[in-house]
Amino acid sequence: MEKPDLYVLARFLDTLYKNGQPMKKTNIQMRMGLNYSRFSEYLDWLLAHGLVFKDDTGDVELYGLSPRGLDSYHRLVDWIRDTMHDMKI
Amino acid sequence: MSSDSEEAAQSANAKLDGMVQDAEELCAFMKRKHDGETRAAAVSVGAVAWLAALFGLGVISSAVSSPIFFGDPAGFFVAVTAIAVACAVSTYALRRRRRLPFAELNSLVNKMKEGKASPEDGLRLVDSVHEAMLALKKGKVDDAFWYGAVAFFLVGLFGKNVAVGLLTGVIVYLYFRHEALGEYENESRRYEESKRDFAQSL
Repeated sequence: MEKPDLYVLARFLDTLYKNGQPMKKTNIQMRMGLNYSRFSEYLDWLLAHGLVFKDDTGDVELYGLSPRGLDSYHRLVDWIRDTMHDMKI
Repeated sequence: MSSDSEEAAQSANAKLDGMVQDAEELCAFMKRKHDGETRAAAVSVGAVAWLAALFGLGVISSAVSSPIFFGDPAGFFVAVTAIAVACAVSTYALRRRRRLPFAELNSLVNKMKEGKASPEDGLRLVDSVHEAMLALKKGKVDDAFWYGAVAFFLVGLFGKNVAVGLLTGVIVYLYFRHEALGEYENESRRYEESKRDFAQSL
């Protein structure tokens, strides 16, 4: 995936951020409302960019927001606020 | 969540709520500006149409030596004014039909005010506000034509030289069109670059 959709990334980061705890793949996919192949593409992209980490030490694989992902979430919120604030007629 | 992460979450929510407030103020301002410009455009078109009708009907009536206008100055002015009012009303109606998406923007703002705003809603709102702003800026391209027409009639009538009036009108039109398009393209490019840079920085 070359150019991920910023809306989907925002939804992904927000889902993991609001949950606060690592989540199962199925639960994330359900909250995201994406089909499996699209969801997997985004998950792979986020893992490759270090925004999400995988915890496979337990019985089930869990996915959570990495410190870099947390930082990206806050930068996204700041970018939205600053962009809106800078909009001038 | 730990107290640190709760604080961070509250801070993120506060920033998004502040953004909704900014968007609301910006939408209200854009609506006022759009309404004001619609009224101003209708008045300008009415004034230009009045002068044009005065000139056109005057030329026609003197060319055909019609007693209808010269015999009845009140009727002549009523006809000129009726043409001007018709032009102003149609301009007003046309511009109102091309309304900016304020209703959609307001519903998005209200939706975000009701629940907790998410970054995805924030992105959608920023995009919508940006589109409305661009539409407002693009409207200035239409206005350039009327600035040109006003310049043409002012110079043509008071200078009593149609050729100079026409040249002035074209120059004024091209100048304002160039300014409006430049502003539109700069704003559009600036926003897209900022969005692309941010996406690449993730």
